[in-house]
Amino acid sequence: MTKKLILSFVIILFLVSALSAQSALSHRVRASVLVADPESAVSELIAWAEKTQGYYLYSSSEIVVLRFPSEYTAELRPFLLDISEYLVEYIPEAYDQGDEIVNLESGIRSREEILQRNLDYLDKADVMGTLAIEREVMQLLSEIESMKGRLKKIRQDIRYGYAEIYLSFQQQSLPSSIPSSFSWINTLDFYDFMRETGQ
Amino acid sequence: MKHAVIPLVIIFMLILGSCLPVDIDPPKGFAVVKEKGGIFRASSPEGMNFSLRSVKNYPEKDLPFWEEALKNHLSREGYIPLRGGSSFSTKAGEGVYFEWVLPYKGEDYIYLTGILVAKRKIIIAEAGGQKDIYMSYREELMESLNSLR
Repeated sequence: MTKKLILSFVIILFLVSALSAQSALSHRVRASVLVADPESAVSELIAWAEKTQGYYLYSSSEIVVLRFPSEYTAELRPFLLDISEYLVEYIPEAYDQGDEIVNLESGIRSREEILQRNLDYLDKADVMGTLAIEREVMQLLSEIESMKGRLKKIRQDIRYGYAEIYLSFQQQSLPSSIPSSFSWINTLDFYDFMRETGQ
Repeated sequence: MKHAVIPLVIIFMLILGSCLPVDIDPPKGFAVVKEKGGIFRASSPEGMNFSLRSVKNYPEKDLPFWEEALKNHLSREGYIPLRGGSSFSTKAGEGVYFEWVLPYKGEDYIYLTGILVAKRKIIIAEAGGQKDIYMSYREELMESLNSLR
């Protein structure tokens, strides 16, 4: 009976730690797609982000930057395959923010304790002491606010994935030859290259 | 004796001038088809080509300048960038490459243009192939570029 209890406790502990490690991951994706119509691809990407309760940070005919709930990260690749002619590149990245969160939380806690102690000294201090404590308090408050801001940003990054999607479109017309002032640049031409190499 | 040495020196200088100032490992799966006259060229079994040549760095400018000049020129001509310029680092120095999408023979082709500024020379790398073939060799092309020394 005792053994079973210990085993159950160990399993629960393992699951809890695995879940907390999972929840400290922030996801980023960089992808390049070839599309027939960039405008419609941009609209579809924004609509997808909004459907997932996400949003877009930036959009142009060349790049779309999206934020979306992290649980939808796995759905992005099939969606890109669906809307593009060709998925040129798809680079998913995940960062474990667990250590950073622990560091920031303990940093905030310790500063708040020091802040409280300083405030307690304030009543007993003379004029010079009060000024010194005030300076210290201001410094601590600024550090705490900055750390809280970083913590908030990290939590936002964990909750929302980040994706940069580069769009290239299939062009219908051939490039035209425009002379450059730099002679060697004039030697770069795809069609000349293909002819010279016999393709 | 003196008269015999001068032409030899000139021939030697011409040979040196026509050589590539760098070495490179060909992309894996490619066969070297030309390695003289200052041009290195390798081909895949599908006929996709990779070439390397050098030109004089004139006017003498650094990599960021030529990167901008190359990007602006090809964009103005109507080349569509697959993505922004990507840098690569080699023993011969820092370089940058662009990949462009172009129509050719009714299909989408990808054209790679890479440059590396090595002292007074600009090393130019070019590769082009049908997009599926190109993508199947992309990693090997990058490894080859990184092997420049």
